[in-house]
Amino acid sequence: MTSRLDDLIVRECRAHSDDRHRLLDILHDVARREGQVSAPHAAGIADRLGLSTADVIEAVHFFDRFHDHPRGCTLVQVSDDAVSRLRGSRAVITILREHLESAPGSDDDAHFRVQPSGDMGLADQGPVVLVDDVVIPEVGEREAHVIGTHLREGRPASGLITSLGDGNNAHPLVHSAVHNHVRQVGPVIFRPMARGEALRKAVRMTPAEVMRAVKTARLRGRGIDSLPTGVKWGFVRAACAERVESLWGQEAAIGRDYSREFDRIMEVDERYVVCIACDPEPGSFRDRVMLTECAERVFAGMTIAGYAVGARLGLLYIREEYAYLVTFLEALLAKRAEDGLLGQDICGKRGFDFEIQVRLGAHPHVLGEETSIIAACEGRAGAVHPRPPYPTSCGYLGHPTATNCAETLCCVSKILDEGSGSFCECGTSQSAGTKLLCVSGDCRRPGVYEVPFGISIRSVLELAGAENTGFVLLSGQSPRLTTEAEFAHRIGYEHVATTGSIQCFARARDPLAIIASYAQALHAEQCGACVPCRGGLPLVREMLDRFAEGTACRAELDQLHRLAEALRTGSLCVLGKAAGKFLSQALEDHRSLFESRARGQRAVARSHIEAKPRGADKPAHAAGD
Amino acid sequence: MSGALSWTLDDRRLSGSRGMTVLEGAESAGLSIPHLCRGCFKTGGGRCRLCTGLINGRPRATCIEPLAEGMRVEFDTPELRTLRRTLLEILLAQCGKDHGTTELDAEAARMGVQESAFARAQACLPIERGPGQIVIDHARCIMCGRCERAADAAGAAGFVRVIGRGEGRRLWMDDQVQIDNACLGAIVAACPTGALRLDQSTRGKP
Repeated sequence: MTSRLDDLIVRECRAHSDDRHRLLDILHDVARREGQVSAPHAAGIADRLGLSTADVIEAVHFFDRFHDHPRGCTLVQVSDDAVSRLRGSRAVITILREHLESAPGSDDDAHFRVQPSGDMGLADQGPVVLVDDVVIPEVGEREAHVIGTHLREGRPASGLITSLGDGNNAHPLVHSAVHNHVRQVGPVIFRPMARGEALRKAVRMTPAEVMRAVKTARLRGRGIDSLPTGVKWGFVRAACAERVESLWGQEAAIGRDYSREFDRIMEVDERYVVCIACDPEPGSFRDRVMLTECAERVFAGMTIAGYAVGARLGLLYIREEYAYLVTFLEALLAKRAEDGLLGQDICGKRGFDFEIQVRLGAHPHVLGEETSIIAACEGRAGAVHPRPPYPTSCGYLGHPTATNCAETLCCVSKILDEGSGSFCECGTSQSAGTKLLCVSGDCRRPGVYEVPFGISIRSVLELAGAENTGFVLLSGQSPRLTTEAEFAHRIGYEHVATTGSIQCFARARDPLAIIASYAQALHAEQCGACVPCRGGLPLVREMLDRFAEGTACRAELDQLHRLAEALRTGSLCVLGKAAGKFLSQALEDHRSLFESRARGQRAVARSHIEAKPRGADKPAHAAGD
Repeated sequence: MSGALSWTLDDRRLSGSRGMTVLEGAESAGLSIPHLCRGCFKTGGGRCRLCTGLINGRPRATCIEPLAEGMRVEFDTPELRTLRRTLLEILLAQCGKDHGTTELDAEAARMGVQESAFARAQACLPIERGPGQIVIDHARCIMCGRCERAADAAGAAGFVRVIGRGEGRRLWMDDQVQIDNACLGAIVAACPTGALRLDQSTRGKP
């Protein structure tokens, strides 16, 4: 190993206090400087952090962001998801490649590499170009030429920001061209609120009373698992009680002295709060907007959660595309600590200490699967871990952990500030409060809408200016492509449950192409830990592509049914189950269309299947290409 | 804590003890549940999903689900039989059939799966020479992770690891780790598909 490499590794590791749990941050920095994390890099980092080389190699190969061989120093990512494609992302990619890559495909010595990516958390303003943490939204063909010329001349990517976005996007620490697109403000999330008020009210109550308030408000998780938040926190506390009890019993039997016992109890009694704010689902961007405009409310929610479950550390997990927000978020955290809203004896409550750290993640996010996000927070490859044990009893570093999404935690702030009663005022009997919807696709006003639960899909389309809509793709535990007949359905846990991504498609669009592209998006987010997902989703994707093209045969329809069932009942995590439910529903809803596209008895055309060795290339969360 | 408990598997009343998984409970009663990723290890598992059963009506991997008092487990239902067939066919689509000597082929034979319906253009995965005398047939690897656990048990943690993600998952071995032949033998023996073998013809790397 050269001494230059040694120096670099020592410097980067030291910058993160040689903390092995910050491996992802270290890898981000090394990748940014070197364009790769090669085997010598990995061995050096492992040595420095006291990990095995295998641990570092595993992380490098799991996350799409890192490569073990040079891939061109600067990565130019272009969003190429279903919605961006409607808006010409393919043309943008071609133009950028003409400008920046001498010969497409040969990327070894190039200074740039243009990579089509899946969803980037910016579906409302695609196509998006991402270079060096600089996000350039709404790129058309003209802008693509400008970007290409600018980068080719060797000018810094930051110079591409010509106009700043609205709200905090124009804040000097954010300095971004991204727009918030908050189209409708509701009473819970975006309504201004007195800073620190919710937290002050919370610490005047006991943790049990805080949990009761959240339960009384009937708050359910706004993420993919819709468990009541109070119940989830209760599991964390119960797991702690169990641990301490078992230890007391054990220690008493051995007869150790009290002081040592006490230390051990403090040690086993660690618990954590993890806030998933990475917009893990295709078409979702609510976390981006919340982090930009009401991050304080998310932090307050995390602190209250910390108080309720008895945690002393909270982790905010954000996606790599939101790296431009990190400095801003850390400044807000520092200010909160100064004002006594974080740190020790928060709001004057003796013994209530809480700290929040921002963790920059990387693709894939596996639809925000808790065990995967927790692994990434620990600096490990984020493959899903089979449950049990559940994160509420064995989560971050093996300790009980409350995982909540940012929207849920914003709701917590509101509940503590204004009381459970006022929270329940909007919504339906079983779905209290409001929901953030991220509308994108064929509509005039894409963006975030805070609507009360119980609103019909049709009303949402009217708000967003979506005319001639034929199909709406709703994300969630059971994602589905709804047709016009179902637009009267209401959004809510008891009706159509969704996590908030609403993608609109005009009547003229081909539903089978939409289904195929969503399956592709899910495939791009999978971890590959279990057989149904790893082996089944690629098969599903290939078959759906053939149906969309009209080259499928009838036997494949039965095979799709079997794969859908295997994914639904056999998968390890919520992603595979969601894919299975989506597929089953699609096969049922669009049966005649599937049948009409199948060409009867015929051999399968396989010419378009690329025969390349597994793992040889890693375009990974790249869509399509 | 260890106490007897009663549970049912497909209407059969069984007894077990606390701390067992459902799969262990079934095995202790002399019943066999197909599984590939768990092997003889106490930890790990939950990945091949062949052992999926309906536990109180919900699909769960029986190899990691702890047994509980009064638990109702369904295993031999038409839906679950189809699921197991589909899973095996997914695996066979990737691995192809071998000579019928491995655990994977034994499970296929037991379920009467002759051929996979999901035949697809096979990517040509390499047969690679690993550290020592080990040979890795990447096409046959089903990422069960049994070799990882065997290495851990033999005191060679970090020698072998499943890396990558999604379709790109593959086996990786650290050639910097010193490893003896007994340990290599244990790792090879843990493989349920014959993806790992020892090449006796030459010593060391070619």
